Amino acid sequence: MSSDFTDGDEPREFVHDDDGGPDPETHCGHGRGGMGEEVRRKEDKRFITGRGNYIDDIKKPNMLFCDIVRSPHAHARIKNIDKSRALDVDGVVAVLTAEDLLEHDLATMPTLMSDTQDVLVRDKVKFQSQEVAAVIAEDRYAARDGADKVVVDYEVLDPVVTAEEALKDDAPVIRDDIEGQTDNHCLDWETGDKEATDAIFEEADVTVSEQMLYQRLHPAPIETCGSVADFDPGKDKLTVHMTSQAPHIHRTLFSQVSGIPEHKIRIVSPDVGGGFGNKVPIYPGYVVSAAASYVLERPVKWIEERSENIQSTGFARDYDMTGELAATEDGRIQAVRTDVLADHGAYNAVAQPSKFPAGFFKIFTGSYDVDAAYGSLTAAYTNSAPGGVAYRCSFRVTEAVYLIERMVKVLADELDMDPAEIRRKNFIQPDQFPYETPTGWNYDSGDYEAALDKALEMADYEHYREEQQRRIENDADKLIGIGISSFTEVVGAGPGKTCDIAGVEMFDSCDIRVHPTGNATVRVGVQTQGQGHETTFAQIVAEELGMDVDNITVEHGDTDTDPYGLGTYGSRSTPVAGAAAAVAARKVRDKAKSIAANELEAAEADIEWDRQSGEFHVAGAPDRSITITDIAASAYMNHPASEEPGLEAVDYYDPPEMTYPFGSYIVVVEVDRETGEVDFEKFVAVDDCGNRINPMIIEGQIHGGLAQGIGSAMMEHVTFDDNGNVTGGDFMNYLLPTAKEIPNFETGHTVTPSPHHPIGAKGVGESPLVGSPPAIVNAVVDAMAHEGISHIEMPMTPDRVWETLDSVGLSRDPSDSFEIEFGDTGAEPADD
Amino acid sequence: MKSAPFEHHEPETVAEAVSLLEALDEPTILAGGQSLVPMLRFRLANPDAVIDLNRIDELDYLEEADGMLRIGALARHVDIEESALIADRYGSFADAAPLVADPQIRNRGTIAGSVAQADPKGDWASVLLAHDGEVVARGPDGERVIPADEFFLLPYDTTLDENEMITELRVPTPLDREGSAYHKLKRKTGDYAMAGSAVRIVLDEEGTIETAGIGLTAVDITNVRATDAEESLVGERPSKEAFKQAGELAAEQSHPESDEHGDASYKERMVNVLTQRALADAAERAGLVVKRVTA
Amino acid sequence: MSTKDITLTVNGETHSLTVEPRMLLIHAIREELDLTGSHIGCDTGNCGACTVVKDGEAIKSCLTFAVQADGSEIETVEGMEDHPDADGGLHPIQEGFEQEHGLQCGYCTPGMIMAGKAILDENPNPTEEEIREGISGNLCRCTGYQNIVKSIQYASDKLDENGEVAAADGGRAETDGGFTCGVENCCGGTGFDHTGGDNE
Ligand SMILES: Cc1cc2nc3c(=O)[nH]c(=O)nc-3n(C[C@H](O)[C@H](O)[C@H](O)COP(=O)(O)OP(=O)(O)OC[C@H]3O[C@@H](n4cnc5c(N)ncnc54)[C@H](O)[C@@H]3O)c2cc1C
Ligand code: FES
Ligand code: FES
Repeated sequence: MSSDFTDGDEPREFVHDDDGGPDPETHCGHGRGGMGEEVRRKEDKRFITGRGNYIDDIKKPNMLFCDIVRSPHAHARIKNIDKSRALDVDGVVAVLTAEDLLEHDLATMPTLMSDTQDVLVRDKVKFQSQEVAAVIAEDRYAARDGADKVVVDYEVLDPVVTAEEALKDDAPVIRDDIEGQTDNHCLDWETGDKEATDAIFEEADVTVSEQMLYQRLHPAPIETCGSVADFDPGKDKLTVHMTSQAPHIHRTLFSQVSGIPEHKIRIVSPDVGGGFGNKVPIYPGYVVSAAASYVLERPVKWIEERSENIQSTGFARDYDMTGELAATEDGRIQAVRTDVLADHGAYNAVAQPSKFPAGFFKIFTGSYDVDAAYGSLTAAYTNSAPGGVAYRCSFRVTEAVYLIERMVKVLADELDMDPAEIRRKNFIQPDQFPYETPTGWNYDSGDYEAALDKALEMADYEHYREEQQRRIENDADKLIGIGISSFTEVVGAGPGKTCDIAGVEMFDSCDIRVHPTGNATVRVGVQTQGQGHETTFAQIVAEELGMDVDNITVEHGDTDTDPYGLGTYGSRSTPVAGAAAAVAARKVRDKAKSIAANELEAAEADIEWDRQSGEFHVAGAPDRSITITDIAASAYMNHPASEEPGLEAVDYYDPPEMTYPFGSYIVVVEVDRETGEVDFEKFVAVDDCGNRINPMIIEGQIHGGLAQGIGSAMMEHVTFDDNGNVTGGDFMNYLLPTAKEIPNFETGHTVTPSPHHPIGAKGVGESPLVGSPPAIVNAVVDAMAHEGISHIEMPMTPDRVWETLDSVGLSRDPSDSFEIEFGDTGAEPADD
Repeated sequence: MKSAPFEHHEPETVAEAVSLLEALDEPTILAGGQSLVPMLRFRLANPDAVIDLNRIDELDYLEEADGMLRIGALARHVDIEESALIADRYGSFADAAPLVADPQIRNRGTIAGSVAQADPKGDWASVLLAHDGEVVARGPDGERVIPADEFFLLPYDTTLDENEMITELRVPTPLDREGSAYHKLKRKTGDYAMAGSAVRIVLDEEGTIETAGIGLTAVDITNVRATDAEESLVGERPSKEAFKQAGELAAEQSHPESDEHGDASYKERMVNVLTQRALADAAERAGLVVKRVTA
Repeated sequence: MSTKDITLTVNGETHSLTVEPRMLLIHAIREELDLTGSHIGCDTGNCGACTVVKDGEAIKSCLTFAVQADGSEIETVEGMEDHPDADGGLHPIQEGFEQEHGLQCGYCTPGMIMAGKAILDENPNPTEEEIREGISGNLCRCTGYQNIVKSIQYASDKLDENGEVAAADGGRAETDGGFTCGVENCCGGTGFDHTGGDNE
């Protein structure tokens, strides 16, 4: 498997100047689009010219459309489904129900946690919008007409809407389909050393505690889910184009569900309009379209509506957490304790490595060197859509970081310490790495204080502290709050022995083929949804082979041609597939050396490769050199007797460890005391993701994640009424921030390479969404901390903020903010 | 979501539209479509026939005439937003326009459609109420002028007859020493109001408030007038005390509902805040000097 | 099932279609004309992925029926490279998105580009605030908008430069109205005059 990931080279810091391209002053970036260069994205051309190929752009001759009939009730027994009127509708070809699927053994599908979910409801509806029947028609309007005419007779049952209610003794049992299940309890989990932790808490000078809900969110990529299934009876082959972040694992699951052998299934993930974890699970729509195509022997397209997307597909978070810290009087954190009540919805469908039922939540000790920690969690079934997907997140690291970063602020306020100071005091120090946390993580590298210091400087921290004080003293109408988050992330799952999805180890792969004319095709097992893989993977290969990035094409998303991989989520593409790309490239380079030796008539041991020029030359004789282009030609036209012809390599990379990016974010807000509205004054993000492949793309990732962090902290929430109806189930009610709610971000970076990664990179995609919500909440809380406020729940809607202001006498009447003057006489209005 | 089938009619004159309204079985009028199209797509409305007003050029105007600002049924939000006339003389309209939805929707949606939609969260009805505006309707029996005060019945329900259409909205042209303003609190750009307050005041020569109109958004089953607040202002000189009292009275008269975006008490409070803020702006626009104390 | 015959001029090319009145303009463009650059991202008119320019104005083509666009001129992202400002290559707005990393998944991008075009057609030198307002009807889940704003600024600068060059060459100046792209109220041609707004 993963062979030589020690290149002999020390990991280098890649520097770039802000105008793009390598910095001529430094040694980095070879100028042909290698590491550290701000290469413009190779994929952009098709998107900016309208030539992208997203799922709904795919058209096949004779294609049918699928529309899904969904339950209006959250909990109900289906007594009867009458399809007859639907079948009479012009253009309707078929109406499928669970009964029809049962005939083909397709009635259920496994979730990513190996629970069994109905594809179409067999007996009992478990959440509003659950899939009840599917109408297949000649066009999408007819399919909808048909869906309207399917008559379903429901016996409505009492719904269980919250996890708290679900665990009450008299709660109706949702999962009576599971043998032996007599309540709504889904799972328990614990981590750390309870005894040691409790003991510290008993003795500690200071303890603080806070309850906080990480509310239910939806990743809500702008493109919804969809599929085009095409069963070819001639070849007995099923091709499914689908919005998938993980096509290979989806092929395996499809094969398991359908019984079609895996080599007779091809999954293609075309251009995907954003994923963020939403497109990791399998959804009934995909299965139904495949089943319909199989039965009807025609291509079938299913495209989800936005409301269907939010109401029925994988939500994220919904962790109700209690956090506690024990500390010394002078602010040294000794122990962390937490207890979580998790809402998993109607099925256990969290998208997590199977050995981690609470995902990576156990990273909740964060960036701090604490003596002991203990965490426990209970998860419940409720009558809501299943989920718990990793929304731009490595499996609950977002919740964990929120918990610890919020608690540090709570402790700082309790001790009346500066929140930057208390962090400094508790950071794991650079010389402590590799560092093992009390819950068993093994952090690879870090320099937390450097990132914090840089962020403080960029944010003009002292100035805002003074301004904050000034406003308080002047009883100003707007308060200033400053929030900090110094997070540590865990990304890059595997290793395969500890991390798997549905049993498949979480490695990833890269296949490089250098063609006779010197350019290369690179295929990877991960799948881009906007992260820029077609560019960054090309840069890695360009760097490692000395090639020009323009001569490299990256392909992905087709299970027929790409090597098996576990997909893109949890910021694992760079740490895992990026490593595979580097290692595969080095394998190619090794072979290239042997060809070079043959061409230059020297011993292979005497051949050196120069990273800067990309050329191979004879040691001590730089003139006797050969380029990779010429080597490629030789590989096919004059290959050495000792080698096979050709110039290619594949690598399946099983990471030895995860990587641990980190950073410090500082947010300055202005809080309107009259309305509770919050404005962003300053937003600084310093990230350390190890060595940087394409700074432009990294910065773009940071911007996007920060905007999502603002959405999470300020407005996003999937809400329900007492009947389990989703009240925040479309873009009118599930609010995404627009360009006007998002400020300009100031980004900075430090570079602490990962010692175990072939190119020292750590992964960055999710950091900004993981790290920013606590910084934002800390900022708003900070604006009122002088009056004793310690917490505000997300989303911090104006009403919540105002209620909090009001609860401590900080709300303000507009009449205190203006004065009307009647001119000099005091009688006449000023003339217009 | 996809609409159910319907027939599409495109009259070119109001007369033609009115006869279609009479002739067809429960037709629905389509103006900007920015509320109706989503309703059709979600099949919340399933008309057999749609009468599309967009080709009736005679409805496309925004002008002052005979002492009235006249807004034709095809005047779009953007027309208000970009009009120099509005910017100069109608503070509340100028405030409201850019706060409605987003640029694309403002390019299509009409003021009259918004008023006909009678969504209590809509902004224009409040402005119309604050200005003592009128709705001009045309039906088989000719024209009828309905005071805005009598127009709104329930959410999505007005006193317009089934075979009537709105041809024009109008408000009196501004008097000397008149000022108006609209303030809206929303959860994000492009969103409907959590609460909104439109105010219009007219001062007499002494600087005393002679006329006051206040229309509220999203805090009752329809857009409503805050009559107690209006009464409290008349005869008073603009002052922070008077405005504060008016804000409180407006809040008392509102009946918002609690929902996931705010409970009723907060929204009441915001009616107070927004009304005071709008009054301060209106006073300024009426010619007073309003000193803002911010720090 | 009643249908209607309509004519749409899309990116300068005239098409005759027979459509059901209920067919949304976005579906006509995508399905009937196979121009799949414009996307659908919601069912409530919030996301702007479907933004096209109709008769010089940015609209959401999911909030308009195709029959309503009968006889009108529509511009979509696919027409941008043929626009005179593109000068045979990418249109400056497209170029801006590429240079300033204004896109990630690319799904919102065609709508953003068309919203950007409408902004610049009306106001060739918008401030950052004006750009943010102009794209506030378009949701992007990937970029955090900062680079989209920069992309439109890039185009504004580039068009300015081109304008100056052209003017110096005796070519068209930005506002002389000598050039029209064929679309009424577009390209600074006849100006943007609505219904008596400035009849004071
Ligand atoms: C995403 C989004 C956000 C929005 N945000 C806001 C907002 O913040 N504030 C706000 O006020 N509005 C908002 N709206 C609604 C928008 O303002 C609509 O334009 C307006 O409500 C309806 O005007 P219209 O011309 O589009 O009417 P249509 O949608 O065509 O019609 C609406 C209703 O009025 C009827 N109607 C239309 N014209 C007439 C007439 N002349 N005579 C009789 N009946 C008629 C129709 O039959 C229909 O029932 C939003 C809409 C969307 C989609
Ligand atoms: S698809 Fe038109 S606004 Fe979302
Ligand atoms: S680039 Fe993905 S939604 Fe904007």
